[in-house]
Parts: sequence; structure tokens; C-alpha cells
Amino acid sequence: MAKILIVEDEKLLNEAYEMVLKKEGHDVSTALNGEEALQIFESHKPDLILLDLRMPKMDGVEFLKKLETKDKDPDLSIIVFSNYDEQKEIDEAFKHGATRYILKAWSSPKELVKVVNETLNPTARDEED
Amino acid sequence: MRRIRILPLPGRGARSQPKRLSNTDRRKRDIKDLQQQVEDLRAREIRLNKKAASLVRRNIKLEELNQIKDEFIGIASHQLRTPATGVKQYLNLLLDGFAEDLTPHQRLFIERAHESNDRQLRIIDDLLRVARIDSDTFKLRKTKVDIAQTLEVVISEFKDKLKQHRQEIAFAAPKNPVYVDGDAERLRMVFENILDNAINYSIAETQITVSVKCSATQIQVIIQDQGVGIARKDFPKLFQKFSRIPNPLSVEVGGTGLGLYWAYKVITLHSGSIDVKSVLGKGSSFIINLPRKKKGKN
Repeated sequence: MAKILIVEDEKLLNEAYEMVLKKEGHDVSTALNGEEALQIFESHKPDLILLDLRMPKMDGVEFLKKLETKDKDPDLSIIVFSNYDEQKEIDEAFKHGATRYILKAWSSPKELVKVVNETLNPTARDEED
Repeated sequence: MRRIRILPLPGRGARSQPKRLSNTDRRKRDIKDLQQQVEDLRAREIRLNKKAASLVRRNIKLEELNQIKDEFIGIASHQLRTPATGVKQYLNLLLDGFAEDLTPHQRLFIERAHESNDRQLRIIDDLLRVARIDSDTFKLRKTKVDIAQTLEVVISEFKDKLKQHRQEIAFAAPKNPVYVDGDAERLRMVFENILDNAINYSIAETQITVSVKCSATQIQVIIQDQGVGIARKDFPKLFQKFSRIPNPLSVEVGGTGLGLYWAYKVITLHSGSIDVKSVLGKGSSFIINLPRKKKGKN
């Protein structure tokens, strides 16, 4: 079990990811934008963040920039949700701490769970398949 | 003595006058004529200048409108993608068993909805990709790209689809890596696009050939199929935005008519070229030329 923070402005998607990750036994908290996410980050101290890039109030890259100034676990993983046409944003996100990205429309919640588990336990990767 | 009057010849106009004028008069008349001509020309110049200015204005306006159109497509597509992704993910939840078990019938219907939604999302991605490449701020992300290896990866991605379509790909490339200074991801997508067309527009039991050739300065990729082919008159339309060329398989295949336009733009931005050779009913070849990366540079 790990502590996961989902940052996604589309409520329905946020709920879908929350559901599948809770089912996996993770401790999940959610935020609808970067601003909310920063507050939750302080209290929740997640092991992994799932981060959308385009969001109102504070977008993903802005959130990452703020996060850089904070005291955090060096093992914190940040997976960004993105789309084909957002290469520029993905580059920016990697510059500021993102560790992996997945294509939002083309990865199912089930695949997302797999990526999350792989990221949390890199050694368990081979046993999965 | 009677004076003989010389009549103006028909068609000469009013200017031909009886030869009674003195030299001075004639000169005066000529000057007047010239002055009139200068005035006419000036008036004409003013009219033309006005027209030119109005054309420039209209051109600016059209460029603005074109830009607004591109922005509109971008915004609209982006707005469409969010709900379409929502549909996709909830269908995925059903198909992946996160709700109760599905009956075979329910599964079939949901799979069909999923397929439609896939198409919708692909169209949105295409539109956004084109909006992006047409924007002034677009830049390639260049690295050292091995073209032969890129093609190999793309071909392996089509393994399942080839099996479904009962088609084969023959691949021939030089043993050593062949590098271009290019945008790896976008070049991969160009090859994917052309290969996907080759598969979609060919019937079963046909072969597709992909070959890579090199000269000292150029890399040439040829993707050849034995498909429905393209009529010569349609060649110029092929790489235009939103153009779809009707053929026996085009309704079945579907598409936005943006893929080849996008491919053309990507290759052109690499200072390369993309051409087509085709015979209707026999098949098509797409020939891509890219400048080869100079040796010794990283």
C-alpha cells in the first residue's frame, strides 16, 4: 500500500482513477488543481503523485515548480497525464521533477494501476507478466 | 484655287485633323495630348494603389481569419477530448471488470462503443496535431535518430494488425545505423501513418515492402504496397489538408484527411521531401527523402 495523490481537474476521471487505486489497496487523496494539491501534499505526504498538466487555477508545471522549493521525500514519484500534442508541457514537467508520463486518453485505468505499481515496486515488474 | 480637305481615315479617331495646323499649334496639341495621357496614367495609378492597398488589407484579414480558424479547431478539439476521454475510461472500467461481470452481449455492445470512441479520440488527436504544426511557435525536437531502427520499431507495432489483415511486410535496410538529425517521435509517427495507410488500403494476401537506401548525403525510405492505388490526377490533392480521395476502401477505412498533410509538414520541416508513385489498382509507393546526418557530429 502506498499514499497516492491524484491531481486532475476532470472530476469524473479523477473519481475513476481514485476508485481503481483504492481497490488496489492504496491510500488515495484527490485534488482538482495545483493549488489544492499543494495543500494536500503538505498534510498527506504522498509517495506518488498522478498529475494532470492542463488545469485551471494552477497547472501541472506550475505545481511542480512550487513543489521543487518544498521539503520532500527524494523517492517521490510523479507521473504526469498528457496528450500527444503536449510535448512542450511534458518537457517542462520533466525539467521540474516528473519521472514518467502516460497518455491520458490511451491508457485505461487498469493500465494506470499497472504503471503505478511498477513505479512503486520497480523490482516486482517481472513477476507481473 | 480650292483647298482640298483631307478627311480622317476611318478608325483613326478624332485626333487626325485636317493638315491645316501650324507647327506651333501641332506642338501645343501634342503637349496637351501628353498632359492628358499623364493625367490618365496618374488617375490609373491612384486607382491601382487603392486596389493594391485593399488587397493587402484583405490578405491580412484572411490570414487573421485563418489563424482564428486554426485556434478554434485547437480549442474545440481540446474541449472535445476531455469528455471523450471520460467516455473511454468508464467503458474501460466496464470492460476490465471493475463493475459486475458482463454478459457476452453487453460486452459486444460496449466494445463497439469503445471502438467508436477510439475513432473520435483519434480524430481529435489528428486535429490538434495539425493545429500545433501549423502554429507559428512549432519547433522540432531534434536528436540523432536511426531511421532503420525507427522503422523496425514501427513495423513491429503493426504485428497484430498485419495478422488480422493477412498481410506481410518485407523490410530491407543497410546493416549499419543510418542517422538523421531529426524529431524521433514525429518521424516515427510519419512512418506509422504511411504504413497504416498501406495496410488499410490493401486487401488481404498482399505484401508491403519497406526499404531504406542511403547515399552520402541522403536517406531514402520507400514504403510500397499492392493496394488500391491513387489516380494521377489525385496526386496533388494527396498532401493537402482535409483532402480525402475516394477509393473502394476509403469509406471503410475512414479518416480526417489530415494524416498525410501532417506527414508532409513534418518531412518538409526536416528539409526532406515526400513523393508518391502509384498506379490505380496496382499499388502505391511513398518515397521519403531525408538529409543524412553528417558523420562525426553528435
